[in-house]
Amino acid sequence: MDLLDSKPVITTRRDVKPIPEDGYYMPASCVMGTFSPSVEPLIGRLYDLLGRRWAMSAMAPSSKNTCCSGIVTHGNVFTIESSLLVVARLWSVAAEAGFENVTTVCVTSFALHNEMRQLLLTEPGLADKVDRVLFDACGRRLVVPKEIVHCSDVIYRYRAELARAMRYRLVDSVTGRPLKVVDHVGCHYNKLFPQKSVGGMEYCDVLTAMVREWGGDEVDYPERRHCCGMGFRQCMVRPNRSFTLACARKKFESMAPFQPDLILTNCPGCLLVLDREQWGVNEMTGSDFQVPVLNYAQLAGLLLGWGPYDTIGIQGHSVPVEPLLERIGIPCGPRPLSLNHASRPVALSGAAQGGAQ
Amino acid sequence: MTAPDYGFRLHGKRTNVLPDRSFDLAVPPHSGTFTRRHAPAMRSLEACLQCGACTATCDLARDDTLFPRRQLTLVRLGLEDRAAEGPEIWKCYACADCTAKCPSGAKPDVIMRRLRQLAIERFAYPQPLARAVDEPVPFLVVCAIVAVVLAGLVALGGSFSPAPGPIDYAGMLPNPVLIPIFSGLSVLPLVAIGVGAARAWRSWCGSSLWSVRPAVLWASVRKAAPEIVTLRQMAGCQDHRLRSWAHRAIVGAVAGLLVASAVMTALVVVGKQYPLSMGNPLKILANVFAALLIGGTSYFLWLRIAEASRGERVGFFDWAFLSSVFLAGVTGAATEAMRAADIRPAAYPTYFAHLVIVLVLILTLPYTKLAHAVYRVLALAGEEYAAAERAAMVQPGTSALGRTGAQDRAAPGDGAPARGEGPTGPSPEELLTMSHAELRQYPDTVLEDAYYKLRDQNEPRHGGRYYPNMKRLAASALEREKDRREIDALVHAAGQSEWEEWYQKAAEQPCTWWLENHIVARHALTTCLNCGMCTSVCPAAEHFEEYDPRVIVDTALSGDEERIVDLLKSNIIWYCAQCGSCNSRCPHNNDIMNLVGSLRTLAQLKGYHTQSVRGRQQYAGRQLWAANLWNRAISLYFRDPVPVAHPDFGPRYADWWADLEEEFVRAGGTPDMDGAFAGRKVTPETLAELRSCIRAGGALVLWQKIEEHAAADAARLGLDIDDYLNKVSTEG
Repeated sequence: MDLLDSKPVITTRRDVKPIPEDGYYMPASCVMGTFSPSVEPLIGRLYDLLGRRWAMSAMAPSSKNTCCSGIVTHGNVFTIESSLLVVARLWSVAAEAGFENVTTVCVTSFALHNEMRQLLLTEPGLADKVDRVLFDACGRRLVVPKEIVHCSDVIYRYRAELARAMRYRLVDSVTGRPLKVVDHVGCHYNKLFPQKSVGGMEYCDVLTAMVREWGGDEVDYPERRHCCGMGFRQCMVRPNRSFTLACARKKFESMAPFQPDLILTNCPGCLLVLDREQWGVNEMTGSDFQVPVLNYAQLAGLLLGWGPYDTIGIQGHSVPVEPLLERIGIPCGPRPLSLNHASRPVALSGAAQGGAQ
Repeated sequence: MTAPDYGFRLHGKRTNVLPDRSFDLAVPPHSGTFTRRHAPAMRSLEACLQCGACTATCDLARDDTLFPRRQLTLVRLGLEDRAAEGPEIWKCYACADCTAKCPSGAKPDVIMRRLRQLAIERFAYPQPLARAVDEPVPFLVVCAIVAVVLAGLVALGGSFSPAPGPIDYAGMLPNPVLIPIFSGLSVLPLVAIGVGAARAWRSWCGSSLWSVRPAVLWASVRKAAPEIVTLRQMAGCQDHRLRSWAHRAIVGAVAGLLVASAVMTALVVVGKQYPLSMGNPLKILANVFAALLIGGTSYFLWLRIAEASRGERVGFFDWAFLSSVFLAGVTGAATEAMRAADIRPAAYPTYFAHLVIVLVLILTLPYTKLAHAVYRVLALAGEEYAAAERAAMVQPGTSALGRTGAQDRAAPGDGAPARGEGPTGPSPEELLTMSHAELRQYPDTVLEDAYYKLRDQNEPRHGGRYYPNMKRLAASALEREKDRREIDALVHAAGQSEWEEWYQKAAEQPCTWWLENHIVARHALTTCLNCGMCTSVCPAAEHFEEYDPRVIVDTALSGDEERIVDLLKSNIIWYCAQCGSCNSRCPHNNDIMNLVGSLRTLAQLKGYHTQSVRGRQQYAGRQLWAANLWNRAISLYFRDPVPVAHPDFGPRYADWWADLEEEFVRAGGTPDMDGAFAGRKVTPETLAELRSCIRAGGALVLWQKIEEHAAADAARLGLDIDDYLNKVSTEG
């Protein structure tokens, strides 16, 4: 073949990573569990649909699952050695249950598990020491998992299989036009270990690949990789919350000109901030930016035709999701009113009205 | 009515009514069903400013129980069950002084009235009957059933057309039929109110009513008797003196009529002539009581009618009770008057109506407002009983002020007794309601036993095993004090792990030593070009002018002890959001995010963090995230983000939160239940494993240092530790 006839190839460095085919141990997520309790069971349901073997605890109903210590570690009220032992204990529980891969719901868990594994690899003698202290502490042995991936990695891997089972597509049911989706990947997924994220830091593709596969259009925007502002100490300690709101505002203002129909995330904290802080930002700035925010598992569940309320839990979102569902053609309840600070209804506008043109 | 006085005083002394922080970090349950059911009547609560004027004016308020503001706040937070489960609401006589003094019209007395209704519902047995008497139709159905049963008795054992001659009510329903039926049916409500009393006792005292020591209980009842009989406390009500007299009239009349009825029944049983003549002293006395009953209830009915005419909601619960008592008095008096005037056509129907009303009052006693007579007496006696039990348990050597010998021997500044010493005695429930200051006098074992006993109490709910006390213990003073002592004991116990010893040693070393030896700091930096890429992408550097990760790296690499110490004492290192954007851009793969984390750990070990506003906030983080991890195996408990602390989340979040437990169950979660998903309670075995790991990794040394430095900083600022926690959680 004549090289001159071939089309130019755009080459960008895209990190690839092994995503295990089956056998996932799923540690719990504090933030996801607190603010979006439907998502963990939802991921399990997706794994079941895909016929994957998975578990959240070694012996239900007595869960041996605990927090990975991500918040206390990044809130800096913990020592790294305690984090090592807490994570090593979780790995031991996973091995005890017969799983050699860990798939985390939370991106900070993803980063912490990987950090701990990296530390064990780079600090001479540390693995032996952790094994010894762990055994003294709770009678368990250090068993480093074969793969540590994020649950969104698994859904990314099986996005095509899921697409075949879906009843709906990410398109406007009236016009047939693909819906515009902006992604927001959690910082601790692609910034701490870019080589362990799908596509790397700048061109992270874990969510946008799902969007394309499921019929939507990926939309770029200038502050796409800006932190949402969750920041542990920032959103949870009230006097520091201005930082969270400032970051969220920056992102909203950056994506607003592109009139997205949906914000898609893979991080519990980002889901929390981008959804719940829209109200606060609107109240502070007088803007009326209202774009629904979904986790990838919620989006997959909705497109599969699962119940928006009982299974997906959209009633827990601060920005009403119903206008988006109406556009896709998913049956749902009436549009809830969005309320202002005085609990008076305000009109939905822009994308939330289905009016993103 | 005197003009409102907003210069806050407690028992005549000036006082600062501080914000009630006992549930600032607690994450509450939110059933809210009762409040929603009675929302129109409780709407005034929305006006509450939390100013404390009600507490300052209430004679029942104590320094540690900010009654009734605390109850109002709990209801506002959706913790209505918690507000209704304490004995305080029963000691309130609804004098409404608080409402008169309330600057915003929140009407605390109305809320107290509703809370007592909720408590009656909670304690009632069987509970559906309590709900029934709160609705007009079911209540009227009960009345109709009673009327039909009585009519049947008249048909079977008496006559609808008594013999001509002087009016003789026994001719319609003979006493040999009437007395056994009334006596027999009275057993049912007595059993039901007995069960209710036992439930109430367990709620207030944490122990079974059947396990009380009878002699102590009797002594307690006798001690409370003057208050029970004379309603002495009502004399303190300033703005509604007539109301207190009306209440006394009703209480006296009901007691007097009960006694008179019993005596008259006894007279009938022994064959004395009945009815008594109008001049009989017992008859005269009974008539006086009847007049008092009619007068007292008329006054309260008039108040309710006035309330209704002002557009305020008066629940059927109130109407049913007041109307029944009023009608019982009126029909009783009319019955007698008609006999005296020989108005035969109306006399027998009126007597029949009187019997129906009295029987309805007796049968519905455990479910109507009348039940408050039992619960109030029990609450007053219970208070005396608890005090007597505490006094009996206090070790010899207790001073008149209640300080124990152990407390006096405690190290200066500590205030806690040595392990295993100090008084024992209060029930777990009592300990759970105590402040830090009160808890300090009890030994570690008492606090720990109470905490774990409460934690593991469970009941079936939502189709699984539910732990109702998890939400009450979270962030309570009992939990914080228990943690402090538990961790202090572990840090000073023998058998320290090598990491625990390392952190103890590291706290005494120079900062430069730390940067060369701490495992995170050692791995964080390779080399730095001072290119500033980290700063250029840092969201915190964009937001906070003085924050610059490049300068932090430069300072860490400088080896200048003084410069590093200055950095650790400043706000700067606390601005980092730990997002890792810096790491992603560093051309030399420096781990700047974790370098900041390492410096933060060092600052806390040395206590430098207390010298900056942002650093001091770590004490709040310790009490929130670390306490959750230590006690619930999670860093964030699902009940933590209360809507009042997150106004930025908007009203839809508050709506969702209002049904939190139900939403969790609906989503597949297991709120405060055994299970794998969101909100689960881990088993004690899992928690024990986790705690061993936390301890072996040295985190307890850090927590103990944070606690120690917070105590020192609080002392420097002249604050107690609760006020300090509030300060660091809110300043900045």
